[in-house]
Amino acid sequence: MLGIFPGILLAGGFQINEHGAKPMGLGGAFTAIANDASAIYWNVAGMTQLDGTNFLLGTALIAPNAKFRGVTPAVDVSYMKSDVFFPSHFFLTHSFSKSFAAGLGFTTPYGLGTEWDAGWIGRYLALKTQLTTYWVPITLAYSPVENLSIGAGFVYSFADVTITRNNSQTPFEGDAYVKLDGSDSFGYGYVFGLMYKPIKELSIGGSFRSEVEYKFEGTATTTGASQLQEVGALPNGDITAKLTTPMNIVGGIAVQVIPQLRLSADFEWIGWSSYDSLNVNFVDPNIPDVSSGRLYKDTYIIRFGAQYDVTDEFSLLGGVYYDKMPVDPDYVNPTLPDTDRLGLSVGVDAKLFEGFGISGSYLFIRGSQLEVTNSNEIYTPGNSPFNGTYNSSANLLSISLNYHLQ
Amino acid sequence: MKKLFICLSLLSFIALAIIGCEDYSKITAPVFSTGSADFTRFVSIGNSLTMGEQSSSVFEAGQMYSFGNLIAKQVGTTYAQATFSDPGTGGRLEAEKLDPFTLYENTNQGVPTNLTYPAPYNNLGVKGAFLYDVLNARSASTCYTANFGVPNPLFDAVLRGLGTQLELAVAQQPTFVTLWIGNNDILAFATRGGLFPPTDPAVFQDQYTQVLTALNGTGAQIVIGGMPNALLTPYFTTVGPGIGLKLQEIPVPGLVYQTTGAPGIALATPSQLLYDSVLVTLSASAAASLLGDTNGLYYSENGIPVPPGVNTSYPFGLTPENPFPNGFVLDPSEIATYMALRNGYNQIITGLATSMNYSVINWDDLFNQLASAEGLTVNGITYSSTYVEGNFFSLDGIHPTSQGYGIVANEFIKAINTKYNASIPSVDVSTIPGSLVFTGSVSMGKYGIPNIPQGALDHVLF
Repeated sequence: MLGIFPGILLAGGFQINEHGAKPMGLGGAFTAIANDASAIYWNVAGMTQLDGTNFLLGTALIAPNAKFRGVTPAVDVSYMKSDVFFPSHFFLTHSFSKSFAAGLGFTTPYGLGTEWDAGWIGRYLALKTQLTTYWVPITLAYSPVENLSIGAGFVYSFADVTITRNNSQTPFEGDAYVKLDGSDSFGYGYVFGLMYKPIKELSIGGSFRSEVEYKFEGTATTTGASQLQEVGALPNGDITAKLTTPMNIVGGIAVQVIPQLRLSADFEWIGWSSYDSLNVNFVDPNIPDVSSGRLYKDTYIIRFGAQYDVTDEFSLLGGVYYDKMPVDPDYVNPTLPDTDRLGLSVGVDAKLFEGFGISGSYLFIRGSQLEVTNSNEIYTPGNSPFNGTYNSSANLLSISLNYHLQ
Repeated sequence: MKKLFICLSLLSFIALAIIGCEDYSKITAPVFSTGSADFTRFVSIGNSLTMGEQSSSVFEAGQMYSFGNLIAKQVGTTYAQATFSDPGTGGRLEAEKLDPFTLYENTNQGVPTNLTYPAPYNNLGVKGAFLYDVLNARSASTCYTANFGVPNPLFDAVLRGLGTQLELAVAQQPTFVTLWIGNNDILAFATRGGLFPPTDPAVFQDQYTQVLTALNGTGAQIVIGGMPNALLTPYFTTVGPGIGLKLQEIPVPGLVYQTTGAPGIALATPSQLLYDSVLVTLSASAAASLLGDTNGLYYSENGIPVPPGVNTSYPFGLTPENPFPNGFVLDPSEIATYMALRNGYNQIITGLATSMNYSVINWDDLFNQLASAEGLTVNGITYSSTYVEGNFFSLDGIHPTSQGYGIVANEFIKAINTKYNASIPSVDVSTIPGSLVFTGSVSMGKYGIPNIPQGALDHVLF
């Protein structure tokens, strides 16, 4: 079994878009295509296109880079620690008849993993932040007429989160170290899908993925000078925190331009306004709760993909997408160096032998340079804004194996 | 057709990839102007405040935030200092416990870490330097306090036998000088409860004239620090009010203390102590905890001979037979003496500076703001002259914390910007780390009087 260590924001906010190597190769413009088992994520209605039983198992390798230059007026560079993440996916569909199919999946739609060096200038804002959400969708699709399919599913979800950072002990020397740990073992959501093919060469898809609300429970531990510990100046105790991942509404179109070439495009609306603040509540009423405004706004991703069938068994994939950041630059902070992103992907999809296929793709993500000049994020024990310039990029590889059983 | 299409799509991907891979744009720090100020060769003359003392010791982690070094960093010039590794020059005060607040005196010493610097230091400040020393001290044995039996080895460490502070400053052909000297000439009188002789104003005038004339001869630009009102520091405002509260509670008429002149004994009422019209030094912290003691513990525990005429079987500090020691108390006449001397020194300094067209920093606004109920808020942090919690003054109650020195540096920068039409940015004091040291091993007590070991503050000045 592949290792499951997902986490890192790759899309705006902390949405992860890697759910299958073929969709990744197509820049994620897959909602109107959804012709493999990853339809469970992309568009559940697509499942009725698949006959028999289909397995799809894969992983992505994500190597993000980010750096921060500042704090203004300084131009010193801080680098995010390089780390590699492996968000993995597994999808299974079964067709009961020509018009009815069911599916079960496992994937990681949201997550982030950032870590900065101990002692770095933004250490009161972020050291290590890790959030992972796991989705287990159970889906059904039905095709009432030949060119129309609809689908729906229930999503069971669980998640865990770890946040660490420093706190100043000023006027005393040294920093305290704060660690927040939490998990939620029961979140749930639902998905809907629609696929319509008015003519053979044209497919239109729609997909809806709901919000999922998590109620994290965990602990806060703060370590620092024993003198401060003795007088209860360092908060320790049980905590709860809520997080709602956003709703997605996607519309897509796919056109078979010539028999060998299919072009696709998606417009994805993401309801990031669900993430308006991050609140950590201490169960002990004597410890003040922590709240930080995030004020995310709804945003979108525009995706384009092209598939060129060199032979019946071998296809080339290409894609490009533009992912608009959901957060105002004044609220960007190093737990999540967000920015507008351009993704460029290439890939291959091949049938190896009877029923067995493989796809592989490479995606390069370039985050546009983000200059923050009026930050609301405070990086000192006083009120000094964390102004500076963020740059980010990422390299991703993904591989998926699929097996078709008649 | 097929091949053409593949080639075209490959080419477009390569083009896109190149655009995507374009590296981030360069950014540069914004420029500011030093105006007509010239920091090419920047030299500081002074005492512990210039050297960067805090918590009764001079140590590298604190010296990094000496006001001179902070100014040098803001303008980007060289600034060599006589640094000492932790815990510094000895006797550093560290917080052992917060409730009740208990200090520990770290008697370990660090070592000089910049001894081989091949030129005189830019920072010539020497802890314990009097005005006299700028002109005359070449070594521990030739410094002013050597005349009082306290040769100061820091003169050896900073001057390294190369000359006096003034000679070493002139030898560097400075373009810019900070001069902040004379504090000890009056402060030692105050910290020792009026028992240390202050420098006579006529002598002060003569010496200051010599110093400023010699520096004027170099053509350097000079910014001068005036004499702040040290009686507003927690060194003088912490223990007295605590004793006042304690005496109100007992209750007794007041603190009975020795005086220098006749009648030899005086009474400080609780309200005098509470409202700072009689001041008790921070060094009296341990003695204050023994008020009312009838076993002579203050003398026996500290190895101090019982003075003639004192009967320790009477309650300590509450009776004329066993009064509170003179050296811990500044009575109203001593306070008046201090204030008159300070005003005199400041007039001398301002008069000389004006005649030579140099600006003088007046610290009164800053110190009054710190002493006010609302304190002073800088970069989102509120500072006050409250001991420890006020954050401006270090554990010795008289020297600033690292952040406090940041505020001091900003006062200098403000004066420089005004005088020399410059736009040097202020130091963001909230970026300076906290500097009160916790000890791994050693309380304000019930009345807010910290437990400070007897004698731990003996070398706060020299």
